[in-house]
Amino acid sequence: MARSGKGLLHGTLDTLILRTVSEAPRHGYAIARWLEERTDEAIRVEEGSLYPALYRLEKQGLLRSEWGRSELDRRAKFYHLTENGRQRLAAETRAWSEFSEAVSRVLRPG
Amino acid sequence: MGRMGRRPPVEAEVDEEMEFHVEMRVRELVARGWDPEEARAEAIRRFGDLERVKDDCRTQGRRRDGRMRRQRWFDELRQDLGFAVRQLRRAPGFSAVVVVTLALAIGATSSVFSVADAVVLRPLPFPESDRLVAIWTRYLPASGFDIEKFALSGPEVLDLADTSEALEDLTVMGGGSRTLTGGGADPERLGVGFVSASFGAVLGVEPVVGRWFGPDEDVPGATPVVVLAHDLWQSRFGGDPDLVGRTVELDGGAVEVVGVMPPGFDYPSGRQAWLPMGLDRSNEGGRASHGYSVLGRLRDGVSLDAFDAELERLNAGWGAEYEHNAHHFLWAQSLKDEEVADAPRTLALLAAAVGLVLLVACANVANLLLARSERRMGEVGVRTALGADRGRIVRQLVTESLVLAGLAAVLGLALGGVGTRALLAIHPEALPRLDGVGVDGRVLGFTALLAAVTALLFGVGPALWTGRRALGSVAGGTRGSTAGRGRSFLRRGLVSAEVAFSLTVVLFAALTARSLVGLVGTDPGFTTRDAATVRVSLPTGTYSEGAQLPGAFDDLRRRLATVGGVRSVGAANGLPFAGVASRWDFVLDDRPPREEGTPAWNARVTIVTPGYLETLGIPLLRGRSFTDADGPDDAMVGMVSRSMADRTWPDADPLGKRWGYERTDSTGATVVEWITVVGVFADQFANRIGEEVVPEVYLPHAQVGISGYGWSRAMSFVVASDRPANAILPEVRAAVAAFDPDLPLYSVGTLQGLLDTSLQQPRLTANLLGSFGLLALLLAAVGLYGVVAYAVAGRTREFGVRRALGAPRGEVTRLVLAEGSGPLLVGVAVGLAVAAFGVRLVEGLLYGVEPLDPLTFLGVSALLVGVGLLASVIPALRATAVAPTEALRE
Repeated sequence: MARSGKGLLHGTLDTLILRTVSEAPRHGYAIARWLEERTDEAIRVEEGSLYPALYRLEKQGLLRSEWGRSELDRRAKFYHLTENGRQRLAAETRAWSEFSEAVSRVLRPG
Repeated sequence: MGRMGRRPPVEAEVDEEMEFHVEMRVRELVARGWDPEEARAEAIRRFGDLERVKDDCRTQGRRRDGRMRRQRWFDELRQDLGFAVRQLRRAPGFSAVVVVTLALAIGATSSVFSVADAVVLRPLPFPESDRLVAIWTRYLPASGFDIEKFALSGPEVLDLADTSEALEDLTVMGGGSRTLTGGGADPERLGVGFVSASFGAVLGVEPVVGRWFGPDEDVPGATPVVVLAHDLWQSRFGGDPDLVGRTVELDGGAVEVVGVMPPGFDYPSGRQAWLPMGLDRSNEGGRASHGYSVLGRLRDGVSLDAFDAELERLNAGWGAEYEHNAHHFLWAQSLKDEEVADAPRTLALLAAAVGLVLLVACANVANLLLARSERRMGEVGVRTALGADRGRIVRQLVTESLVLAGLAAVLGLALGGVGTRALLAIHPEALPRLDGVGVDGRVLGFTALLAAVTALLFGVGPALWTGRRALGSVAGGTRGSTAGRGRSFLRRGLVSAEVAFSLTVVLFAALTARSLVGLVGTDPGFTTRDAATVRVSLPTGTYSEGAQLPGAFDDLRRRLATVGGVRSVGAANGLPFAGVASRWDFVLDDRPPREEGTPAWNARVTIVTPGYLETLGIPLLRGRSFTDADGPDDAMVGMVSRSMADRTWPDADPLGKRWGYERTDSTGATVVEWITVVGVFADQFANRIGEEVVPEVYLPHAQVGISGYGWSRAMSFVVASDRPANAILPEVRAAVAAFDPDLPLYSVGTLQGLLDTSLQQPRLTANLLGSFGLLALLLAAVGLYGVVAYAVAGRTREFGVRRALGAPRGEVTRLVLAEGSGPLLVGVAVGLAVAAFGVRLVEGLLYGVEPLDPLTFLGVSALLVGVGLLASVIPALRATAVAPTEALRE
């Protein structure tokens, strides 16, 4: 079980975050939960890596945040993709599938 | 702008976001059956070091905020710029008027800056040039003269070099010329500098090829050596590196080339070669013979004040030791002050005038913007209603001003560049260092800054005004409201300022113009204008004997007299305004020897040929002028100027009186050859019209060698003809070539040219100030017209009523003129006060007119009032032309 963000390949956390908010604006906890559920807790993102990454991505202009109401009617900070973020996600996704396909080809028995 | 309002500060943002996360996680864990307290500990634990995570986030957050602020600022700027350009294109007439007005003012200002920068602001082109000083002798009144600035004598130079602690080194600098011959090329007259072995070290400039000459070569009788300028080395010797060590022929004698200076080095101004001065240490008797300009380099860290203090001590010591130095004091000034001379005063005046023109232009544009803001209230109101705050509106309007000023700066730079080049082509000698004038980075930077400052000057006032009004009114007119009255007051104030500033500029222009007229109209002492001048120097190689020279010059004089149409020919060792003049102490045979401490008699000496007075048209007041009969074997004669006669023999007939020059003969005895006064001529200005007249004598060239001062090797010939001077120049050249084909010609020109050159600076000043004055006047008139026309437009109805009720046309005209005359008269009154204070800038630059000349003040005021009324009359006529019925229907 990959326990932490540190175990992820370098830069992968950023891409996963971008993917997570690409469907709908999400707050930090929702991003963490979505990743956990989506991967059956195979990937557990450590909060200590998640939040600095969110702030960094926003600084880079790939994410924007807004304060809004959470599902429990609590004030929460929601992140959504910017146009730049969308382009970055597309590029990273393409690069990742090419990479994983190549790795799979090598690992495929026979 | 978010749905939940403003973003919290980044510290609170991080805290709240983490707290939310922890709460959500606790809720999840509790739902899975955790104990609430343990759940909270677990949630926090999963953060690792919570405080460090928060710190990380805050740092990133702060950077994010800075980035977003900048981004927003640029976005808004881009919006504002785009909007500004659209607005300006929508009002092309308005934009064009504003841009042209500002371009003229900005162009003029940046031109004056480019000249001031090259002439005054930039340091001299030498390393650590602030340590360079020029050293002079001051003649105290007790010496018989009151001269601030004169060359040093040889013994004074050597004493100073030996004793000064403050100076690292010093060099003498003398100018002269030599003829370079040989090598199959035409003979070439070179401007040469006579300098010390320390010259290169003092200036901090090293030869690029070879070496500078050494102290052992800088003594009388040493093997002659020369250092060449780079240009000459290239043009004459093809840059031959082997030239060093070989000899060239200067004035017929062999001189060894020891070095070549770097490209562009021609100090002091236009030198092509440098020769050792060879100051004579044994010449103690020459203490009174002043002929050496001196340039020194202060030791690192020594101030000019410290050097002054040292000179004071040295002067006191020499004054006790030598009688001569009791009345002749050394003093120093920075070399830069010496080089720029009185240029800073001229430039300060031009800068002040052009600054005022810029203010007038700003006031004018501000007025146009205020008038336009009325028409834009609707648009601004709509933007306010759409949520733009006042700061945003003001910023938008200021951006428009910046766009206008930017366009004006580009156009102004182009206009200014062209104008400056044209003016300097006409007046290349008006100021020192003009060859360095051009549009460079410094000028561009200044102009950009100027444009920004200008935009703020004319743009911020109207922008704030409009912004404030935008708050009070969302669309809809407010004519006649308090704001409207306030603006009208502001507009009148601006126009008054325009009138006041233009009056000052016009006054500067009028004063300098009157001064120029005075200079041009002043008799320089000679009446001939259209005569050709040419300078000829007979080299020692061909004309080795001094006594040969007068015969050779007479021969040349007779040849020149045969040129077609020539009326008369004369020559002198220096012409008026050509900067050649020497002054010698003399003695009188009817006076006892001068007592110690009493002033020496001293007069400027010019060596002339027969015909000189007649050719230049110098009035002969008494007696006769020289003839060919005044030969070397005849009785020694001389002529004196009127002021020389009045000073020396105030109560007697000068004719027949005698003076002479003391010299030491071969036995060591002091001898004097007495010279008898045979004529008195009118006073001459030596260098500049209007300067103080100095007593002067003329000596016949055929006798001067005998009177103790050697023969003159170089003479300037003046040829007066029935034909224009320029037309006979080719024949004059041909006559000189027929006399001796090896003689180079230099200083070829006309007497009028010499006069003109001496007047270039006052001409340039008067021309520039005249243009500035005209521009300011025009702008003020346009401004006044605008205000009156605006007021009339607002009162059309009222005028209609008045006319319908039977008021005569004249009354309406009077009412309209009253609108303009208020600001006009206030402006003239304020302007007179400003000008009375400002004229201290012109003091010392005027000739023949007082700075506070009442007639000029009156005339300029009348001009301003006249132009102002004219500008008001046009709207007045239009107002009365409107039929009353039409006005009422409006």
